[in-house]
Amino acid sequence: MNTRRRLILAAAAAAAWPALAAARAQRRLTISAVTFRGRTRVEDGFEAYLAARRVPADIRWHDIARDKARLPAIVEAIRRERPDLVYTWGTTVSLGVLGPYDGIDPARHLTDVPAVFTLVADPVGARLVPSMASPARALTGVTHMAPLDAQIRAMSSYRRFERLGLIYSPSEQNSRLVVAGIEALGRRNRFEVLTRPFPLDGDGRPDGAGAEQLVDALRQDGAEWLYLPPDSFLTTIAPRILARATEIGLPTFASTEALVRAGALTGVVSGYESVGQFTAFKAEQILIHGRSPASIPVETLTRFSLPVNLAVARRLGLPPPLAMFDYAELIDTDGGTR
Amino acid sequence: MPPNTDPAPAGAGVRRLLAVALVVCLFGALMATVLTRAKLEQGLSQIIQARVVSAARELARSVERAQGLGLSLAELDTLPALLERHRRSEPLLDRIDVFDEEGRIVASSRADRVGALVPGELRRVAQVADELPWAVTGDDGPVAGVSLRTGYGLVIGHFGLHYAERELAAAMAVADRRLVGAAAVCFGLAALCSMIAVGWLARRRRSPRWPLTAACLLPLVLAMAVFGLESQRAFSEQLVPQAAHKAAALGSGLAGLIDRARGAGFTFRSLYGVDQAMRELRQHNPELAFVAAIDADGAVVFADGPVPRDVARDTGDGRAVVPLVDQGQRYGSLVFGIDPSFVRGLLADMRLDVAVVLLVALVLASELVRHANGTAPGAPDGALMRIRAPVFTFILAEELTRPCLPAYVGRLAGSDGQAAAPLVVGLPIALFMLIVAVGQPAFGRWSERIGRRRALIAGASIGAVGFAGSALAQGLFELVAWRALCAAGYGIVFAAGQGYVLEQAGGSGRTRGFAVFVGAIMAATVCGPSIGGILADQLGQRATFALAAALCLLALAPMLALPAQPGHPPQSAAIGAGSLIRLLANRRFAVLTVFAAIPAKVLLIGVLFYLVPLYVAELGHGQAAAGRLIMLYGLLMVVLVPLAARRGETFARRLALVTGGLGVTGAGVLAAAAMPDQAGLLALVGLLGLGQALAISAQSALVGELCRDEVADHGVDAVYGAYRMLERLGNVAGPLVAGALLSTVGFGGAFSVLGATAMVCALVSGLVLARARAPLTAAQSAT
Repeated sequence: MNTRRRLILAAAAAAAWPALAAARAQRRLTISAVTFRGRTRVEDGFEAYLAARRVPADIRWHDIARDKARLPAIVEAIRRERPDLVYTWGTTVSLGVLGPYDGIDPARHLTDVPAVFTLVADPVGARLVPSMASPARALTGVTHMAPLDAQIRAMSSYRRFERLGLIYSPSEQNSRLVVAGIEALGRRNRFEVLTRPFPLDGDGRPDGAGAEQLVDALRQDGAEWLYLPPDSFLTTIAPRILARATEIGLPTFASTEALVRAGALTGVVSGYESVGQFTAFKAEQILIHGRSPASIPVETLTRFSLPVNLAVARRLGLPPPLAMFDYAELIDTDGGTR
Repeated sequence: MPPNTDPAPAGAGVRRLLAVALVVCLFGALMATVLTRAKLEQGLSQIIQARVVSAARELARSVERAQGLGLSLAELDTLPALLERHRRSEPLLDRIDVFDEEGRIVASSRADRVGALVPGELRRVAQVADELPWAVTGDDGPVAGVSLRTGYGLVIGHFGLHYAERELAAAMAVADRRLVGAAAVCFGLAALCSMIAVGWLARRRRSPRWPLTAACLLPLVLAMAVFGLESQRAFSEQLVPQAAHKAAALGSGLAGLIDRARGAGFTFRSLYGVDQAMRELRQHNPELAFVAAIDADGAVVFADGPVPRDVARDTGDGRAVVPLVDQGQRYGSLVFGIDPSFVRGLLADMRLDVAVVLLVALVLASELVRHANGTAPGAPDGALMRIRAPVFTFILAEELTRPCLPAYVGRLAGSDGQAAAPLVVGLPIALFMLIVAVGQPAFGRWSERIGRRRALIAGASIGAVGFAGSALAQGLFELVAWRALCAAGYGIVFAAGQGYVLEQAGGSGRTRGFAVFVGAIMAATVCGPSIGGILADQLGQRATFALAAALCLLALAPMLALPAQPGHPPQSAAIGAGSLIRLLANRRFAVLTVFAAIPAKVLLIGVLFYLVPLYVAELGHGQAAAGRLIMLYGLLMVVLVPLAARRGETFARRLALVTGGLGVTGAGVLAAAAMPDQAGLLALVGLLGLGQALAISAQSALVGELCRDEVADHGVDAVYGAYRMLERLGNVAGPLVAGALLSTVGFGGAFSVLGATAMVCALVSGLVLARARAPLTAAQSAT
């Protein structure tokens, strides 16, 4: 779609919304929600916000159970439901239901319903929207990645470092972008970045058989931290990598909540409940306040949580700095969150 | 000597001089005590406020933990109990309210407060503070607070911690007794010394002014120094215990973190980053000399700052000790040491104010000595010199209010904590200037008819009523009405004083007479704004206006003592519109007025008396700082005007002084636009003073030169009267132009536009009038 047509569509949508919203406020609203791996705390936050704000909405839940093949049937089901809003969880689901902005296929994608997406790490890189500031189509959403420099700052306030180790899948574009970003920060803030990509097999897929050896090699090269990027393949074998790192005394820093749960020492992540609330806040803007989704920027949280796995910290003999006890979310595998 | 001077007994002159010494010491004692007391109060309330803010932060943290940043505070049923627990843990706190963005109280430690609205000002301050802690003193006492937000930045609520200033009042009561005692001793002795010295000097045959002034001042300077040392002791006595209380409040926060860390399974000794947390505490609280964590045996485990050997012994004074306890067992302590010299830093802030007080005391002493000497029986020009004291005192009243007037107008005109529009703030200043400008000729003729003395008395009385009304005004329109009275009083005293000087001095002594008159005004310009600024900061704006009213009344005494003269029908003619138009038809005169005289006044009033006080406040400085800047302008004028007057010997030089002066003024205003800080302000006022001083005498002389024919036809007075009238229209336009610019383009924009316009005007008038010079010289040579 060219820019001009996009602008016209956005303008038309903007003009139509207030009237529609006024009409809709009279009746109960329907939201069709599609999740990737069942219900998470994001959905808890989403529902809790709508309930607290008394938004009269019924939510129809759909789940693809990590299987992309289920998407077409769900899109058909949503067409029949004729919802007021569509909710999509994660990059795979959001792209499958809504399509990339420059490749919308009306046969496969929903085009006539406003949508909010959530938990998409890089909406611009995934081509969901051309820019964060103005989505330029009838959807908006929330991303959950903390800015890289905030992550590096948190890492160095836990323990200062000069060498940072990094393991990633060279086949994943998102990981490559994060690695480039960290390397740029390293040049600016004068720390060295040691990278160890997973070897690729004949089909170009990463091979995790020697993951422990990668960790050992980084340690030998003098890495003081191991940084775990938001890498799908790495996440699947994260427990092995993290166990090894802790065993050889290498602290680990996670970029996502899943990696923290897998046993990283610490990380800067979005609270899933807050992400869900913020997504519901944007849904409310569309459903109740009649704002056009195209005019609502895609945003990330302004506050992130800093979880610390106390069991890991004790095993490493690295207590968090005292001031961190003020704002860290302390997780104790023996006793839960404190 | 005029025949109507009172016959005074011998020794009256000495008694007068002794009275001068007493007055100057009294002034110094009062100002020093007021300043010191205010500084102590400020220091104490800052410490107390820091304690409350620290309590607010603790509260926000525990609520955050309790609810995990959920949705609405109302859902947290443990909240009222939590608020009450926090209230009891800090003895300063009266109650804790939680209010939403609309200002409605959603929870409180006092159940009956729920549902009520907090004052608008509180709501506004909380919103402006964003994520930072805030503090404000509202109608129902001081409040400090902090906001609580969701993970995506939405405000969940604001905590407002209401606290009492009981401890402040108790500490101040003790300090007051000490300060007053110290002041009585120091300044009493100083007064005695200076009276002895003055008496000795005065008994000698001729007593010159400067030795007498010095005799008044030197003991005062010594007394100030001794009083300064003594007040430092009083400061330490009150501030150190308060600082220890504050340290204990900070310490309980640190102890809480250590508890959490130990609860997470780390031993006390294995904790990391403790010294860094201590260092940060010391950075934010410079009164902390050291912070140490010691174990149960008294060994230092963590520390920052120079820890003394006896840290484990509880020495009480200047120390705060917070026990570290786990399950009833004490495993260590946090020890905070207060650096007693931090009060020295607090007092150092006062140095500028004290210097200003001494400078004003100097001017005051010299002014009073001059009055005592000049009006003494047998003194030359006795009747002429008598006008100096009342004019000085009366003008001082108006000058006192200069640094605080814009802020006062803004406060009265604003509503619900919202500031008023800049143009509205400029209105009362413009109206004042308009009444003075338009009324001047009429006031002059009226005072001629009823007699100068009676007119002066009437003017001062009207002024006193105007200032008293201004001090009590409740709204903008009321204030404008009272300010109109002030303007009428000012105009009358100015015109009558000028007339008195002319009549007493006679034709030949005219220049000397004006020097006496202008000298009194200049002395008031130096003393008034600086003292007024200090008073407005310490006692409030209303008190400053009330003091101005008192000064008007004080001016009545020397006015009543003036020789009574019968009035007579006015000899000077009114300035008709006709003569104004005829004058303006003189193109060169019109260019000089429109492109040099009026712009200079627009800049002077619009920038110095309107923009500067507002800008100083915008930069976060007090009214005393604005007053000092206006005083700097006055000082520059006193020093530079006579120097510049000597330079204007030829037409070309005079023109260069006028256009150059305007250009320098413009450059100063542009400098303020380029440097948005105090350096910019200093450059602005310095160059403004220099520019105005260069131009002022030369400009008057140029008028006479350019209007030779008009002077021949209508007389000097008519031409100059019309010129002054036009010039004063610039005074009127100044605050209006500056206000309009401020509301459209902000401070930087207003300075840029005004500065650039001045430059252009200087260029235009320079070019046009330089070309006019040729025919003028030809005409001159023809006569």
